[in-house]
Amino acid sequence: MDYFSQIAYGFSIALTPVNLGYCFIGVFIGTLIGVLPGIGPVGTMSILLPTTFHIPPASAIIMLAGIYYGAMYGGSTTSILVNMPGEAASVVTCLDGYQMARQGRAGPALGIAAFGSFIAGTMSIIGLMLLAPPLSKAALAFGPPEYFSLMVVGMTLVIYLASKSIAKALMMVVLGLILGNVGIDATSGAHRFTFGILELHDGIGLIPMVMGLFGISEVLINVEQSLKREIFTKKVKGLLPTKQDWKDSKGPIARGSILGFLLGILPGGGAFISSFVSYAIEKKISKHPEKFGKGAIEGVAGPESANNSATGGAFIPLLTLGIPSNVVMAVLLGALLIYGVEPGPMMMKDHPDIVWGLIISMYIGNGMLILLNLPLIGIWIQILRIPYRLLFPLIILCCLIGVYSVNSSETEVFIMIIFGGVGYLMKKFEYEAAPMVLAFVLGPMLENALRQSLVISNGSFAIFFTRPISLVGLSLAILLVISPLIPWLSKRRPPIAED
Amino acid sequence: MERSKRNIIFSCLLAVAILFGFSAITRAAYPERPITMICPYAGGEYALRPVANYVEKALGQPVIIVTKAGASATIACGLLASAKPDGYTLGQITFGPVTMGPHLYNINYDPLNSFEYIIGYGKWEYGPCVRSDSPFKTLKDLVDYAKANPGIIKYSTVGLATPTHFGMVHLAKAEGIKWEVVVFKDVQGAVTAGLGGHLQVVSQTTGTMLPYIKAGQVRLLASFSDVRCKWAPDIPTARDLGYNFDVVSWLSFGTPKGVPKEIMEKLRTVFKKAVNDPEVLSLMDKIFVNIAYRTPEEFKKLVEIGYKENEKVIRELGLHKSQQK
Repeated sequence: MDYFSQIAYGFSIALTPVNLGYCFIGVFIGTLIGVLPGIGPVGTMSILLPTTFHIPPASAIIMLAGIYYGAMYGGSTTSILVNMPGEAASVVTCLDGYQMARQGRAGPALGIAAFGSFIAGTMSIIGLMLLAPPLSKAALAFGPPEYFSLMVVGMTLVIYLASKSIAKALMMVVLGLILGNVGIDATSGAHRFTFGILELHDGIGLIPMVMGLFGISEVLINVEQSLKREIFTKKVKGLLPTKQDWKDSKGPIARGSILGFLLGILPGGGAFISSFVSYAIEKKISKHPEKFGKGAIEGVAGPESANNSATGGAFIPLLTLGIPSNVVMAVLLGALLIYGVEPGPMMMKDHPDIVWGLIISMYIGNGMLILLNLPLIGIWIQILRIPYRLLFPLIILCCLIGVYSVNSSETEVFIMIIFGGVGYLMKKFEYEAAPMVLAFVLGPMLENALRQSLVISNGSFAIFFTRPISLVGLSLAILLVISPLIPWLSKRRPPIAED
Repeated sequence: MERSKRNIIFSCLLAVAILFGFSAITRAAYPERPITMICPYAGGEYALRPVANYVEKALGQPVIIVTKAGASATIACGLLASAKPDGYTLGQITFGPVTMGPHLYNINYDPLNSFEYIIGYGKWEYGPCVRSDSPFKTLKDLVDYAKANPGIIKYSTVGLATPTHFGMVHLAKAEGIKWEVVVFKDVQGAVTAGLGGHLQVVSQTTGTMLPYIKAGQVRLLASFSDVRCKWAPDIPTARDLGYNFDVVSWLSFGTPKGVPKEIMEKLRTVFKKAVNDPEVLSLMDKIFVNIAYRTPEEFKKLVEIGYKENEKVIRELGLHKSQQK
């Protein structure tokens, strides 16, 4: 494949004023909806899709894609400012990002999030460009047994999300597993904890749950404290990351980019899981893990990079095989079909204008996003200056509207409020929400993968050890679990949590 | 009667008469405000847009698509059934929530009586697919192998007790085959597992598989529908091969019961035109939605038949909600 001519062709398409315009519209809208809690790229793309019927397919795809990765930029804003995840992938950013904001360092947090996203996004597009075909083959090699071992590795990392008592974190993990069970079991059709409530048949919604657990509960906690004491220090220490911040963030950004990219390729992987895993990894290899959870910039840089590069990775299965790796890609697939483009291995050959135009426009879009977001940091900081007694009703209002906008479901609003209360109690008694959320997401995936694998293997557990990728994954998990016991591996590091 | 009392009664009667008159006029002016269309599947809006756009233009009011996904479209149907029957709320009613969902979930609507159908417009068809490098070239190859090697063949479906599952169940019953279902929660997982060679057969909607079929990555072994797949006409149907079953998910648009007759008539006329409009048809063709026109009465009949048949199959599989502990 002659890359240079392809790339040049892509530039010729992406740099037309029309397509630049569509790119800008896409990323702008994406940033907005990323900031607004609740409504996400899927809903927005579906709404805007009809307007794209009469414009050239390349322009339409450029705009729709811009909405998707633009939303990843915006999502971290509310996580950092008010502990409200803009969408699921930004939950982890709440852990340290919000703490940084409380210490007057919202600017650096937002800045590193933006830069990390830019670097990671760009790297993932380069990866997409150069490595797409071999990586997509690798993605296909992931069947149920491989997903199982991946989930096991994920579960072993859950504990790294805890910064306080490990025993309590483990209790939260179990709670997360239990809550993850609610719904109809896919493999057997059994009703679990649905109590006949139709809305629970698909399980508890992730978005209402995290918005309640993180956002609403934080509001409740803050309001309970004296309103005279300002929640955020008035003194904002600088708007941009310091040299030291950059030094600390180099590694996390690099690692997050690679990690997010690889996990994003896997159908069902994606931004959410990669952000959690990045956080856990950064904490594990950090020389001062006790700082995590209290405003360590690595805890923002890594996950934010990971969730952005996951968006680049997510395009690979779609562009090379025609397989959507998440719901957003599925909508893009529908859009492509409508434009008369049949996704599949032939797409790069038959429609190079769309594929390469898209790839190059993603670079440009990333550039636009960093230019858009940096000046906005100054504006976002001003929001923190609003007296809390005026700010928190706005936060709650945004949450209520945001959750309702996803599925027009009163039940989901109700769920959010309940988890707001639960989260408040959890914070009071120092039980952490992050381990619970990760277990909530990973548990069902792990169980499904396990049972699918066992059907394939006719009941034999050997399947997890005879398949190479799965074997590697499980060995890694075992290694992670026993590593604290091996002296030379743990090197007498400070404990990852108080106990 | 005193004069003033008579006046009051007279003016009341006059007011009522006027109001009736107005309401008659308002009915004739339907629609006066935007219409809501409920979409029961996440990310499924774009498949409804072609028809919605046409109806918008024809009626002169925006058609707003609202997605209310969940519980295999039963949540959307529940909301549709309880909406006000004034013609301003309609929705896509697919086969699942009225013929299968009722046997599996505790729904809050009557699948046979809560809805009035505007038009049956399409269907989702199903069929088993194998990778193009698979040794199974025809359905007979697969069936013979499965009979000789019980429990070896694994096929992926989306969900249990769904059309993707039923096709293979019927086939297994007809031939006395024992094969295993690997259930996935979403389409991507089911298709990727097949493409990656982790299982032998992918039982899916033909619409989903067509891009891969056309690209030569997979082979469709048979169509479980009542007719051959429009885009793969040389693939036989199960009936062609001598089996006595088909699995089709009929698609319709419907309203809650009780919508005034004139409004219903208007909707039916407009939707019928929409489904016959060349631009709409070509868009639907691109996203592989099969257009299959059924009158409201025919659709109701299909639902009744489907309801009973599926109840039988679901009970046989032991998945009926009354069989759950």
